[in-house]
Amino acid sequence: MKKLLLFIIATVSFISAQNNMRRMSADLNCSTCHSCENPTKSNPCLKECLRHEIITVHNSPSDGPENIILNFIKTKNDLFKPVNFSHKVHSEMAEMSGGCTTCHHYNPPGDILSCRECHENDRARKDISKPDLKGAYHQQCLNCHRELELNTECESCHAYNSQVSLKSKADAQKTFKPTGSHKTVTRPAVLTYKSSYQKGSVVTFHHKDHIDLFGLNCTQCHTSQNCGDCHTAKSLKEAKPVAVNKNSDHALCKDCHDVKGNSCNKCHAENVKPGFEHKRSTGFDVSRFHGDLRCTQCHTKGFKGLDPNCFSCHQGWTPETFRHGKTGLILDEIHVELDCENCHKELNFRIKPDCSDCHDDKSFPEFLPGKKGTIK
Amino acid sequence: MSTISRRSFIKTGIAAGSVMLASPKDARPAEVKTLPPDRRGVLVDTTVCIGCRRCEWACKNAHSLPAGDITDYDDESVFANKRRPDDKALTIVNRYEKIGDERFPTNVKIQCMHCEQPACLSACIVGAFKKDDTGAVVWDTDKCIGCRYCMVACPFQIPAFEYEKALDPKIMKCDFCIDRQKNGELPACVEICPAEALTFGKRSELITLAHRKIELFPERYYNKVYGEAEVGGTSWLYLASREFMELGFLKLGTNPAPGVSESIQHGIFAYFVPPIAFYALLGGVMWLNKNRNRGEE
Ligand code: SF4
Ligand code: SF4
Ligand code: SF4
Repeated sequence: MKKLLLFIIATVSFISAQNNMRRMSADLNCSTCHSCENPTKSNPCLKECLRHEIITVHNSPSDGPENIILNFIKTKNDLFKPVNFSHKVHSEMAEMSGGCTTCHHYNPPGDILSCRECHENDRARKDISKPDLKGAYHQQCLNCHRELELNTECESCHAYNSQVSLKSKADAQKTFKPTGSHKTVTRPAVLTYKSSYQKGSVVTFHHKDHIDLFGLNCTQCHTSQNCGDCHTAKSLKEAKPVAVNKNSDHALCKDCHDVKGNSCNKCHAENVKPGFEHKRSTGFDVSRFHGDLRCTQCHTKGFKGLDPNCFSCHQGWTPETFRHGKTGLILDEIHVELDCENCHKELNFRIKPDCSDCHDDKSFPEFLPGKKGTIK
Repeated sequence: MSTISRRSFIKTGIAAGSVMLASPKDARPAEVKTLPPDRRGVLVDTTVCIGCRRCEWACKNAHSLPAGDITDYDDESVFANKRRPDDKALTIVNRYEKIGDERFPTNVKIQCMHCEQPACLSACIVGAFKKDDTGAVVWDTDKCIGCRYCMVACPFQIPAFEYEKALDPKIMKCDFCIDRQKNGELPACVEICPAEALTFGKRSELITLAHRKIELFPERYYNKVYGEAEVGGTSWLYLASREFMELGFLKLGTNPAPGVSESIQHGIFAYFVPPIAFYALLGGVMWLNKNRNRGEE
C-alpha cells in the first residue's frame, strides 16, 4: 500500500512538476510501469522494478544529502560500526556515468527513493525477488569498488566494532571518509577529429555549444563512463581524459543528426568549421528577441525549419496583448489603438511599416508613431 | 550412546540385503519420497559473491568447529589452490580468475547440494540418512557405521570422514543448518553473507527468481540454473556468469544418482554370490568395532 501511495504521489508530482525534469528516458507510457491495460487504484498492476527499463529523473548532486550514516541494519553482535557514506562525493562521481540511476535504479519523478524504501531490512523475508537491504548495499557498492579498487576489504568502508576481539590488523579502526567534492571536470570548447572521409576529413565538434546551446547532459554522450575510465586504483588524484566511443558508424552523433544521405558536409569539411550561428545558417536572427530560448522550445518537432512569420508561433498576439515597447518603440495613445496590419502590411513584421495609407506627409522612420524606449 | 540395538542393525542389514537379492539385475532407485512443495533451498549467485569467506567462518561457528579469528578469512592466498569441503570446513569458497579481467573473478561456494533424491541416502546401508521436509539431507551419527558408502556414492564428493580422529570418527557434511532452521533461524552462511549472494527461500521460488534474473540480465548470466535438473534436482542452486564446467562444476545428467550408485554396489557384489554375506561380514565387523571403541572410551 505504501508503495502504491508513493507511486500515486510520484505520478501527480510528475504531471505538476515537469520543469524539474531535465532528463527522462524517451518512451514513457502506461505500460512502462503497468502490466495491465486498465490499471485502477485497487489494482494498479505495477510491474516489478526493472533496473534498466524504469523511468528516471535527474537531480543534481547538491540536491541530495552530504553524508549518510548507514546505521539502519543492526543485529545482536555487529562486527562493524555503521558506514559513513559520503553521498555527495559519490553522486558527483555518478554524474559522470549514469547519474542518480547508477544507484537509485528505481527513480520515479518526485522525491528520490532511498534503498530501504524497497529493500527489506530482513533476510528471512517473504518476497525474495529483490535482495535485502544489507545485500542491496553491498551489491551496489561492491560493483564499483571491485571495478575500481581491485579489493573488497571490509575495512575500506567499515570500522570494526571495538568489542570484537581482533588479534591482528592494527589499522582495523580506520574508516575511509572521503571529503570535499569531485574536482570540476574541465570541458573542452571545441574538439577536432580526423576522419577517413576523403571529401572532408576534418570533423569539428563544438563541445561547448552542445552543452550550453543545445542543452545536452554529459551522460547523453558519455553513456557508460565510470571512475575506472579516468582513474586507476593506484593514483586516484591523476586522471586521464574522459573518452567517448567515437567509432566510425557515427554511433554518438546519429541520435540527433542525420548521418545518411547527403548530409556529410554538415560535419565533415576540409578545415575547421565555425560553430552554429542561427542567423548565418538559417537566415533568422534569434539574437534580438529569442536569445534566451533553448532550441527545443521553438523546435518542438525536430529541426525541420519553422515559418518565420511571428504568428506561426505567437498565435495569441492582439493589439491589446502585445507589448509594443519590447521592440524598442513605445506607441503613442493614437497608434496603440490601431490593428497591427494598419502599419505592418500583410502582417510581415520584417518589412518597414508604411505610413502613406493615413499620412501624406509622414514616413517611417523619420516620424515615429510614439517614442523610443523599451517596456520591461 | 548408541541408540541402535544389535538386533535392529541385523534386521536392517537383512532387509537391505534381501532387496538386492530379490532384484539383482533391474536395480531401481530407492522409492522416491514425495517432497513437500514448500521445501527450502538456497540460490547461490556466484556473480554477486565477493569471496569474503565469511560464510566459511559462520558455518564453523555454527557447528562448533575451530573457526579462528574472522579477519583470518581476509587472507586471499587460500585461493591459490582449489579446496574441497572436509570434516573441518563444511563449506569452502574457491576462486576462479577471469582471464583478461582480474577485477571480477568468480567465487564459488561449495557445500552439500542437498539433492532431491540423494545418492548418499540410497547408498547408506544402515539407513542413517534422511531427506528432511526442510529440504536438508541429514544423517544420524549414531546409526552411521563409518562404511563411507555415502562418500563414494555422492556425485558431488561431499561427505567427508574424520580420518584424523582415532576414536569414533564420523561422517561430516553441511547439514543445511537444520537445527537453526528448526529454531526459525537462517542457515549461518546465509545469515552472514554481506552481499546476499546466498538467497534462502522456497526451492520453487528460487528457481523462478533465478530464471527471472537470467531473463533480465542476459549479459550478466550464463543461461543455466545449475542444480535445477542435475541428478534429479538439488536444493542448492547456482547462477554463474560463465559455463559451469569452467568453475569446477561437474557435468552431470538429470537422472537421479541413486540408480547410478546402486548399480555401483551391484557391480561390486556381482562377485560375491550372496551379497548379504558381504554385508554381514563387512557391516558387522565395522559395527562391532565401533561398539568396542565406544566401550573403551
Ligand atoms: S550432495 Fe552428496 S552428500 Fe549432499 S545430498 Fe547430494 S548426494 Fe548427499
Ligand atoms: S547451510 Fe549451514 S552447514 Fe551448510 S554450509 Fe551453510 S552454514 Fe554450513
Ligand atoms: S559470505 Fe557470501 S559473499 Fe562472502 S564468500 Fe560466502 S557466499 Fe561469497
